[in-house]
Amino acid sequence: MLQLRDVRVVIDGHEIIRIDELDLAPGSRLGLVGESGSGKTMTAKAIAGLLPDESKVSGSVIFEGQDLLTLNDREMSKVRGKRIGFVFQDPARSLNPMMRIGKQVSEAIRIHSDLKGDAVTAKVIDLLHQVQLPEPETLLRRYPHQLSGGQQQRVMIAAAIAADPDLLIADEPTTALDVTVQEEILRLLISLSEERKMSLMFVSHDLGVIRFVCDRVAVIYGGNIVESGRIEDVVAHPMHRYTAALLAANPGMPKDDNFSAFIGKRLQTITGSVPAVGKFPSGCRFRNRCLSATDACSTMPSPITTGNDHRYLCWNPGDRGQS
Amino acid sequence: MLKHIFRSFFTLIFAALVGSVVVFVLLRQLGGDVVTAMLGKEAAPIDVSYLREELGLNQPLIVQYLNWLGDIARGDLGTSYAMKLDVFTEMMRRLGPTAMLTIGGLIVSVPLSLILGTYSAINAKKIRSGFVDVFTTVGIAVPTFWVGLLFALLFGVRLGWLPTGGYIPFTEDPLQSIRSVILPVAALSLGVTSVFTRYVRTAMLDVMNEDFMRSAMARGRTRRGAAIIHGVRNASIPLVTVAALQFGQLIAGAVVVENVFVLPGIGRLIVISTLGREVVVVQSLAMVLMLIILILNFLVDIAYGFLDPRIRDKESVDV
Ligand SMILES: Nc1ncnc2c1ncn2[C@@H]1O[C@H](COP(=O)(O)OP(=O)(O)O)[C@@H](O)[C@H]1O
Ligand code: SF4
Ligand SMILES: [Mg+2]
Repeated sequence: MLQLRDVRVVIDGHEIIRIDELDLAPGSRLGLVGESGSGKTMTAKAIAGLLPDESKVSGSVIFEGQDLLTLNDREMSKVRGKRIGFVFQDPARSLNPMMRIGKQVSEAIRIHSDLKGDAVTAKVIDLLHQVQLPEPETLLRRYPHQLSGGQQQRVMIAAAIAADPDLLIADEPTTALDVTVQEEILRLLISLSEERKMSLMFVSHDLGVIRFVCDRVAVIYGGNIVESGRIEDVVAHPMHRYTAALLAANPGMPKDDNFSAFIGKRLQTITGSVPAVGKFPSGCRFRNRCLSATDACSTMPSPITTGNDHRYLCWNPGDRGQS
Repeated sequence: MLKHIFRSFFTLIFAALVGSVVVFVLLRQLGGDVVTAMLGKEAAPIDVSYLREELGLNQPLIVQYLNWLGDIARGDLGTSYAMKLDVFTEMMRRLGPTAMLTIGGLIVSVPLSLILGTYSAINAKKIRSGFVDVFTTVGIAVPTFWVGLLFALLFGVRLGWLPTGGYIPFTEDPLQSIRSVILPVAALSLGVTSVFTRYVRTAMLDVMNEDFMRSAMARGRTRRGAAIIHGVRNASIPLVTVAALQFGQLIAGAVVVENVFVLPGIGRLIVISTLGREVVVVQSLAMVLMLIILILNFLVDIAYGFLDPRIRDKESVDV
């Protein structure tokens, strides 16, 4: 349903994103994982057509057969909210402080459908029910600051799915929330995607959270998708050394559904830190931090695909971590 | 909210008191001897001592000040020396043109600034917004009296479209009355609009970077739609504060424009009184104008509290 091909985003002469291939199948939940600054948000923005004005984008973002990169702001606004919904990291800042909750949840409905008046209100109340918010009738008259962080994020989700999109892109939707609230929101996203047969692209720096939510994962580093595949395959047999390092920094990855066992184990230390924009090495972007790097790594690795579409770009693949 | 209103009211009273001291002391004490200023250096001693007595200048300064304040509070703004005119009556008689100018200036400049500033912010990275920048730069740079003169010569004398001077009261003939203030209002609005457009543009640019603007676009708003529906509302909070400052500009501009277009308003009275060395009149008028600006500021401050739901809530919990 969503295919990125050779997508490049350049800002101020620096290549921020270079994704040769990224696919999302209908009904699937794809996780996009990487350390902070690896280009996750930029990728989401590139799909949404909400990149900063000064960015130059090339390649193609095919959504349901249509290349979104060829659309202008007006045409793209018919896709956003209606066919692709978005939820962002900081719910407190993502809601308009001067506008009532009801107005913000109904915004996509009013923009994209012919519903009017009471029909819109009825739909908003139903949406607030679906995201499990109490007393929707009074809630829709309230302002964002009167809600807790978790409630605000539920409101954002309700607003994002209001016009029944086929795909929801959630960029670190729970990062700003505390652990118990996180789990509730994640469970909500899973059940919404199942009930509505809505695909999900879930962005997080936390492999544990992705494992909890997603069936597939794409690992991003330096704006490159370095590895992708079914979550169990990637976790069990990481091929790219960056994925292996992520897993090594995230040791307790049990197989059961116990949420608290999955999260809270943040990426601890991968040798070195993510370079600033424009400071990445040539070839494999991870080269300067990789303990397995060889001379070959100064040229961009060619993709290798094994069973179940497990795909990676690494000259010296291996699944035994960095030790 | 109540607390917010109390605080604004306290600010109003305090500012008015400080302002009154400044007006009083500056003009009476620092400007040299009032009587010499009014009568000239060669005045007869008998006139001098008579005027000193009449103005109460022989009393201690603090008594003079308190008397003056008490008079103003009672609506007694004093009497002009030369014509023996009651200043309050004279001011009320001249209120019409000044009110029409300032209200007209508001009606023209506020919406125009909002439109121009928003347009310029939405198209910030495009050449189009450059036209707005050129307009505002020119508008800020040229002095109001010059613009007034230009408009009078061009649209009044050369093209003969509109009257270049004189004033017809609104109650007498509304249409002609409005015609008579079109050019002055235009001249007055140019500078104020230019400054305010800049403020709007800056406030809008700040708001455009907010996360909730991105959310609005993510729900299907175009950049322009998000700016108009979400942006203006949020930008209005910082703007309301500067709008209050613009009242002062507007009134100052009205003083200038009344003189260019010979409109019998309060601004004209101020200039005539200043030239005639009518210290009492100038002092009272300065005080009244200051009070008007302070009260408008106070009202705006309260409006600000009602505008922002966060302030509305927060303060009602506090009190
Ligand atoms: N507006 C911008 N202009 C230039 N560079 C940016 C901008 N926003 C982000 N970047 C850079 O792009 C890279 C990727 O950022 P981002 O996608 O936000 O990372 P992530 O979401 O994975 O933490 C970072 O190096 C960041 O500094
Ligand atoms: S390509 Fe080379 S540098 Fe990059 S992860 Fe693989 S081994 Fe390390
Ligand atoms: Mg991010």
